[in-house]
Amino acid sequence: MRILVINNDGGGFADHVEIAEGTTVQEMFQQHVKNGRPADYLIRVNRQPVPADQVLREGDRISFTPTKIEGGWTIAAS
Amino acid sequence: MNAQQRLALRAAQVLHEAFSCRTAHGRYLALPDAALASCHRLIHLIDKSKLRGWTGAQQKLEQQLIRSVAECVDELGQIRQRLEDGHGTTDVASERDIFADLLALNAEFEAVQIDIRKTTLAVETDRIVLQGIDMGPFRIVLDWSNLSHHRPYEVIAQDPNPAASSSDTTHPHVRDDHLCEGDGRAAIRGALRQGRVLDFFILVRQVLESYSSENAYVKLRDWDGRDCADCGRTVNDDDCVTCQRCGTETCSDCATSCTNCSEYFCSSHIASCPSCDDPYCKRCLAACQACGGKFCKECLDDEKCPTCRRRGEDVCEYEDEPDESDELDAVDAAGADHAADSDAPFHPLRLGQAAVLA
Repeated sequence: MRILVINNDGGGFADHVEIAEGTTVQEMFQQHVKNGRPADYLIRVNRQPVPADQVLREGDRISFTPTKIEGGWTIAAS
Repeated sequence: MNAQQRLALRAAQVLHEAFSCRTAHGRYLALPDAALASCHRLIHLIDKSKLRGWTGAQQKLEQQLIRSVAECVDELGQIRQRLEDGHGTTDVASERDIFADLLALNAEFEAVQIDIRKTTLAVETDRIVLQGIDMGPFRIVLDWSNLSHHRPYEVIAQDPNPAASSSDTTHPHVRDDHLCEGDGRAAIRGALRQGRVLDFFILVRQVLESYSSENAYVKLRDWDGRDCADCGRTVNDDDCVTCQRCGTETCSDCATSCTNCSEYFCSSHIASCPSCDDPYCKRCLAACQACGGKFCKECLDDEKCPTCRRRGEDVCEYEDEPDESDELDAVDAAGADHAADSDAPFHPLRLGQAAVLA
């Protein structure tokens, strides 16, 4: 089945992906946020907070947004 | 559907149109005019600082210039990226998605305001408290008629608690109502490019709720200003001068420039030549070979001070203060810090003050 995944960490990522039936929110998080802890992210499904074991459904929109994003100037890579 | 939902639906239609046809609502591409203007202004100020010998101010301005140049480079890089990506081929959220985003904003923020006539969408955050310092709530205002601009939104303090050194800095990462996005830049720009309104506002809020001391306009430890080491007055950054000897920060009134080398020093590391009364740093004073007193090189002739030369003898009035020169030597040799020096029998003078000799 197909869902929209939005990872607002780092460079940002938003795209539709194919996932297996029965995939949970926690599993998606582990796939897309390799080195992060769930506690450090706002995790939303269809714009609502959800429990980690919630099973994703066709057409869902899941987003991961870091709770801490350091502001300040950065020198762009050439 | 209630009135709020009807307004959200109308706004979603307009926003979708704006995100889809951003070129129709703004310029084709916007060059980083503001950042370039900032570079010009800073270069002008650095030139002035160099002329006046304000080394500390020059260093601070150069740091600001690095930021402005980085901002120019970053924005030009984004323009290049947009051109290389085909400029406008990005998938934009549907009207339905934007409508859902607008409704969801009410659950995330205290106040959400849609003003179709002014083409703005605004939310208000909770009070932002960083390391115990209350910055107050912020209003994030997105102007969708300005999406092609590199800063289509503003972050406005609603109960401002600006830095003492900079009234325009209302948050360590907000100056002139503009957020320095830092690590959030790519994600924020991505959300704006794709019309993900909810993500955009949440990302900006999370940057506001975070603090990076390395990249702050004003560090939180300096939020209430800096204390002049000499007079104790709280001063802002622009009025702060660093002693070239010990690194102590003083206000510009207390810092004194050495007549010879033109560097600035705190009161503990500047003295006057006993003969001409002009201020000099330790390195620019030399000892009279007869009495041992410290004089500027202009006042020494044949390595003797005017009094020793005039009297033609080895004892003069300045010899009454042998400890002073000894102390100066000791301080110089040991590189003692400011606190230690402050107790020394070394009587500093500031510009315009005259030495009182026994």
